[in-house]
Amino acid sequence: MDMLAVELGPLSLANPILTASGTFGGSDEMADFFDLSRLGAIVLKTVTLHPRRGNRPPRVAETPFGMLNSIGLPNGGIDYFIENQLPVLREIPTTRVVNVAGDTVDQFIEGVRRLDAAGGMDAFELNISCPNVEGGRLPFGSDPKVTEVLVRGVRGVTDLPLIVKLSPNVTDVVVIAQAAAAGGADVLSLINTLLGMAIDPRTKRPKLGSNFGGLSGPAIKPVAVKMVWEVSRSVDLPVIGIGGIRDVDDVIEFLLAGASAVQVGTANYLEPTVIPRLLDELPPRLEELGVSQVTDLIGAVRPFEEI
Amino acid sequence: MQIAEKASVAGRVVKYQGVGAAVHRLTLEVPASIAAPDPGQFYMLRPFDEPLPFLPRAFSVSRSRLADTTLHLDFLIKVYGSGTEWLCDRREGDRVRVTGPLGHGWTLDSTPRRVFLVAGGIGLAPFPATIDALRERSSTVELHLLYGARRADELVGLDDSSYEGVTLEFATEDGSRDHRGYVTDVLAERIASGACGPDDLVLACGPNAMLGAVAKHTLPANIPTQVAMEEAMACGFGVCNGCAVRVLDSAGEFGIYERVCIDGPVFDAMRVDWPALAAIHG
Ligand SMILES: Cc1cc2nc3c(=O)[nH]c(=O)nc-3n(C[C@H](O)[C@H](O)[C@H](O)COP(=O)(O)OP(=O)(O)OC[C@H]3O[C@@H](n4cnc5c(N)ncnc54)[C@H](O)[C@@H]3O)c2cc1C
Ligand SMILES: Cc1cc2nc3c(=O)[nH]c(=O)nc-3n(C[C@H](O)[C@H](O)[C@H](O)COP(=O)(O)O)c2cc1C
Ligand code: FES
Repeated sequence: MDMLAVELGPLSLANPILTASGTFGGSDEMADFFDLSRLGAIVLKTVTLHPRRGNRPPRVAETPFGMLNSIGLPNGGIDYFIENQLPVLREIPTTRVVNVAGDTVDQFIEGVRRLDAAGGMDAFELNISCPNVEGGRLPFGSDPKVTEVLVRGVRGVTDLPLIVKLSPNVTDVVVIAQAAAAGGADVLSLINTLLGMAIDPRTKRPKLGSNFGGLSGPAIKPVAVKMVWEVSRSVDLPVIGIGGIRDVDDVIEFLLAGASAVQVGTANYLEPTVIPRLLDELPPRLEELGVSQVTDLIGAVRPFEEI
Repeated sequence: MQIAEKASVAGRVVKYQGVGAAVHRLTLEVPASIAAPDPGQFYMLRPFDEPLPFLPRAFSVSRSRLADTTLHLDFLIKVYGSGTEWLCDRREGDRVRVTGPLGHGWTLDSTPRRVFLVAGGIGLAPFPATIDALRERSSTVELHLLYGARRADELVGLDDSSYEGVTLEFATEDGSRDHRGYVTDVLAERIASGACGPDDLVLACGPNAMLGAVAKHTLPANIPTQVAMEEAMACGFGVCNGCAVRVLDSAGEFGIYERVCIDGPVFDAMRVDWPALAAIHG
């Protein structure tokens, strides 16, 4: 077996490095930068049943070792996606994951049902955690009951693997992870962005048009590593680690914490070729660490005990 | 040789020169296997192997030249915050991550008799390549540069052979050179006197507020106008959806967003929702 191959529940991936939704486009936009067949899997930008315009600008702002965004899930809707993006996605020779969100549980179910009927993807990722949805209501992923109902509903309309993407903006992420598992999730991915705000002292205006938004990048990595560690120890599902990954040791850190794979997000903006670089650097780094299979690292952190 | 439409590579600083008023000319060398930029296109620049400044910053290319197997890209950069400060601290041999060429530049398919280039401050940056391209298309084109800044000593960057033969007019907010006030006042005068009209072309680059003032004068006079816009960006190549600008949809209604980095940075001024832009940046 190739030293980088991993199993994510029902999914077999050539390597553990995936793209994070919203940071890699809606089909093959990044193909100019590198050969997309190298990806462990491609995860596309969130699609919703109905078209969305997105939020008022400015939508991005730099923060210490990271960035805030309030993009607002702009997309052409699922029918547009099926007609225009899916044919391009089908031609990308890697595992293809479509990320779905909705305003209501029924919109999630109907969206996945239509996509599943159209075919051409290998898995779904449910974005139950986006903090930016219009109306300021609580995200689905902050309530365990809603999470379970939502995942069970979607589970009923597709046989494809279901990845449920968790929000860090909760009191106890393990409770939500267990709810997603009870609803029938195959894989958990975490974390989505952490809620945050930044204000310009000169104008007294928030730096984002939506006043607040989601924090990503290296600034959130320790929060993400800790949540991956907790969830992977408490729930019997494979976990995808997300948050601030830029270097090969970041990948290894998430694997040690218990992730079976990782997603790279914000780093794609800084360095569009970051994923092929990580894939080049991973095998020699594994050798340096005396590891023959990347899977040997999963959950291999040696936590301290009380003395 | 296979030419990539765009790429992200280590560029090497081959020339560095301060031109005054915190403005610097930076020449970066990249492989010639990457497409040469069209006038009005831009690049994202950031450190090649340092963690900060974090996000890449957008810069219009002033001009490009093929030199053997390499492509030289000239930038005109004004120090503003941490990213531009870092770039303007580079010296010959330093490495910079260069991603591009990006976006859509000026549409120059019809060649009008007269072109008015309107620059606000560092908005002068893309004009050398633009002038060269206009002259390539028509040897008789009459070129006017209207260049505005706060003070006379900020009117830098004109030490470039492309500006030879271009009629130059200046505006300074403190009146230290030529017209006292905004560069758009000068444009408005030209329109009022009939010196700039519907058969001409206006190409404008500068702060969004200046672009709005240009459109306010040119659109009622039916003068074709293209504006190179700015918006906060994270990626620069269309995948983050950060750089939204509100424009007219195909039905002629305002209210849809396009991406400055990929649908622009150059827009037909008629398509931009100027009141929304003013509200957003107000
Ligand atoms: C398409 C395009 C072309 C440009 N061409 C040039 C050029 O040729 N020469 C030049 O000097 N400048 C140009 N700019 C402006 C340049 O990108 C900003 O001056 C620069 O991003 C400021 O970064 P900073 O770190 O110095 O400032 P900071 O204020 O520290 O930057 C903080 C954040 O705000 C963003 N930001 C700040 N000002 C601007 C701005 N005006 N436009 C967009 N984002 C901004 C930065 O990118 C960064 O993410 C261009 C901008 C765009 C969008
Ligand atoms: C600009 C931007 C847009 C994003 N859009 C989405 C999205 O559409 N759907 C989603 O599930 N996550 C979205 N995310 C979250 C990322 O997928 C990821 O969970 C998060 O950014 C943390 O990873 P990172 O630090 O590597 O970026 C977005 C993040 C950013 C920065
Ligand atoms: S800057 Fe990312 S889409 Fe334009």
